[in-house]
Amino acid sequence: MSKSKIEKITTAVTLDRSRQPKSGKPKDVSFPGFFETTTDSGISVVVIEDRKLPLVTSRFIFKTGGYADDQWGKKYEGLASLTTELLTKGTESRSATVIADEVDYLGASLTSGSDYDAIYISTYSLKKYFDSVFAIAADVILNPAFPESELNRIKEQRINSLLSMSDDGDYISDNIFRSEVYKGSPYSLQSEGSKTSVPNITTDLAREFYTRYFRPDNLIIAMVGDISPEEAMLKINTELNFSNTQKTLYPELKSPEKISGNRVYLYDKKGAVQSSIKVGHLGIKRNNPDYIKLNVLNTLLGGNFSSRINKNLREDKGYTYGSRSSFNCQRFCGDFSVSTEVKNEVTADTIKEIIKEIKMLRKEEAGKNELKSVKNYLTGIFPLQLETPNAVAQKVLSLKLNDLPSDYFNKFIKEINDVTPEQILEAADKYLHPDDMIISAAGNVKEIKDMMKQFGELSVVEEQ
Amino acid sequence: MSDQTLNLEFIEYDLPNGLHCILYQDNTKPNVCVMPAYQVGAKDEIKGQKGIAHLFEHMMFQGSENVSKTGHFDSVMKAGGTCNAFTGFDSTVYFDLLPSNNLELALWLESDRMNSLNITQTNLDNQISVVLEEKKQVIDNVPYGTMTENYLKHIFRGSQYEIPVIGLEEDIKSFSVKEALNFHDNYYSPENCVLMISGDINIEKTKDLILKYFGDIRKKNLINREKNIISELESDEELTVPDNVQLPVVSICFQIPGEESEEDFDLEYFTEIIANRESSRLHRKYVYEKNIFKSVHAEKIALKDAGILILFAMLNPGTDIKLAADILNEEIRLFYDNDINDREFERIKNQLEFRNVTKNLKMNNISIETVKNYMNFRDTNLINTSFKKFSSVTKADIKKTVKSNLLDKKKFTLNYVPKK
Repeated sequence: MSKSKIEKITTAVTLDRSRQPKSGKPKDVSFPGFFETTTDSGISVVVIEDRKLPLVTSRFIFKTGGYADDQWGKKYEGLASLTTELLTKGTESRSATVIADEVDYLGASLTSGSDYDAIYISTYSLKKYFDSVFAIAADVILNPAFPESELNRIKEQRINSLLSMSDDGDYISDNIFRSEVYKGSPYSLQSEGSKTSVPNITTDLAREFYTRYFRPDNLIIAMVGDISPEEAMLKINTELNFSNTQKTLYPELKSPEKISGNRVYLYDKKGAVQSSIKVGHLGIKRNNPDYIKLNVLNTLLGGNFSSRINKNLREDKGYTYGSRSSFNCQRFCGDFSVSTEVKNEVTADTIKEIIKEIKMLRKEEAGKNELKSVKNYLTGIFPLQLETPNAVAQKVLSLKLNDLPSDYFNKFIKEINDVTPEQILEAADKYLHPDDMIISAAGNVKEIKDMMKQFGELSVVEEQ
Repeated sequence: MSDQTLNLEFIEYDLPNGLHCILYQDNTKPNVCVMPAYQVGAKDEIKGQKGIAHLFEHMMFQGSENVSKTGHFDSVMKAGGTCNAFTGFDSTVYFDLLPSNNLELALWLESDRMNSLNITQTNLDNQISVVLEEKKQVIDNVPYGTMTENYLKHIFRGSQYEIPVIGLEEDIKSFSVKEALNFHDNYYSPENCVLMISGDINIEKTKDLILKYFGDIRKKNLINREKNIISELESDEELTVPDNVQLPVVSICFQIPGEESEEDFDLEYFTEIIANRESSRLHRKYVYEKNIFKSVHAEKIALKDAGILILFAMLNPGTDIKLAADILNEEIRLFYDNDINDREFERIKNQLEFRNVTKNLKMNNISIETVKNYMNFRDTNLINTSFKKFSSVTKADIKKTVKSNLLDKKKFTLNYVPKK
């Protein structure tokens, strides 16, 4: 305890605790500044410098993800995802095991992954090992070898992962929900692939995907932490030279079909003692101008512990350990959903309460106090969400990926505070559709099937 | 490699009522973390009340003399913050993370529920339902969800670590308002609490506020504890559980010394050399080259009085569970028979060095580690010195510990297989 002081204090007065203390003067919150530029080859670069700890992260985002799995007249579910995984499994000069050994040895990480919108590759290391790990990342991005044997290995692993994931009721319920809500669009596909699609992925397809989309104009880079913009630009300009600098051509995107009437989908989960529920419909894309209003609306409805749905289902009824609503906003489309896990016998009652809460929000203006609480919450947690340099980078990258302006977060707090009860009511009317929903539940079908018929056309889904 | 070692400075003192205060100032972000941690957990529960410490933690959010049901959550959120709590075997930790201009609010809320809890039958019944659903959601309805329960039952048989923190359904259902109030009286007393405040604070003002809100809370001197007597396994044991899962899992586990013991540091090297990363021995041989494991992990459940070391493999379809268990056991033996090569030894040091820096990224993490270090070891400064202990571990230490704590000891083998 060499650095700490031990002190004694002796006075204490009995306190009147009946009055809640007032808040002190709030500190100004400003979004951290960052450097941004575009390289000659078209790479969009941001640098978030923070010298507090000797850590550097580099993040690479190619703006094409699982939404591009549906092309060449065929659906190759899992192509973006498997191509991404294959990147770190061998380059022209490094084998898969050499890459793993080099990165692990530095105590660093090199990760790659994808979602519907994009492909993400990142490194994270101590500053003193950054040069070494960045060089490996650059090699993986510029010179992947797509070895046949490695693809076969990860295909087998993927099929076994899919098997294992199907043990999880929430995963199944999410899958059913997504495939029905986004029906007709590539966002309905399973981006990690399915047991029928994975065997069809070949190294030729992966190479084709790579050639089309791993181009500088399709790339965003963020360098974060103990690094200056000058250092960052020098690295990118000297070590990340793409041979293919042609303009990226994007696949044409099919829109999801509209849903009318509530539809119920059940999956019989062997041995389930709870129902995993997901209820909702299409939402908005991330750069919809009503995003901030819907953020406020959602927080009030089911976005945090004190929200209406959680208080109702947990603190009043005791149906569940927790429930949440969210607008999942992606680049080209999104969804709105409420999800929870509840005991079998209250599955239908839970859906009724969820519908009731959504309808109430469309009917009655939110109270001034309630709305004030929600706004305080959203503006107050904003700086908490910026605690680490990587958290700041995450926010900046979301702007770049979704074509939002660089000063977006400077206005964020003001825009939240400007939202009125009338606007919430309007937004609820426009964006919530409690009579046209997909209701998906994985659980004990025998116990819940009859009670679920009341909500609309019911199907039991066999395979996931 | 010690050039990356940070030195966090703490101010530390006791109030006359025994409340131990730890302050850590960092004004770079306008946030503050208020964390009262009580030295009570599932290991203090008596027979017939298993799950009480955790259920009680829920009741701490159900209102106190001046705060209504859900008032704690509501006030913190309205102040632009978040709050939560977690119960372990050795302690129960509460925290409020909020903008620093609302520090006083958090102190008021925490002081009110330390001073006087308001427990009604309706609220207790409600939280019993919630906790029973929590148990389903995190254990019963989860694939392989009962693994921890089985580890504890075998490795810690007869001790206070035998039953999982979430507890037993019949005990949870039988908890009464009177028992809850007794629990508060016995354990939620200032002398049994560590209050850590970190982040954007002014030390002198914060000391004044702590005195204002906690100085008048009376010490209760009630605390009586169950003795935690831990005995070793007398013979090898094995259990095979049919579950609603697709892939079999085999795990081998051992009882090991408690957290922060010398052996705990040695075994950290062992777990990382043998499994976890792609370049680890088991991953390379059996996930990558032979393709018979889907994944392999080695981990420690580190508790204050003892721990469990687990080697865990998920098997690809068609792999025999007996073969898998043999592989894991053989790899431990090979670890002792062969040398640790320099590169893998350096790799673990580099990984630990990286972890030693990243643990300082978030106030909440600093606070959690620090209150635990004080409560368990009465050593607040451990966050600054633990890395030195890691660095001083030698290859010989690791092998010696693997022999005396794994190879020379009895083990428990736990298998999960798909239900027919």
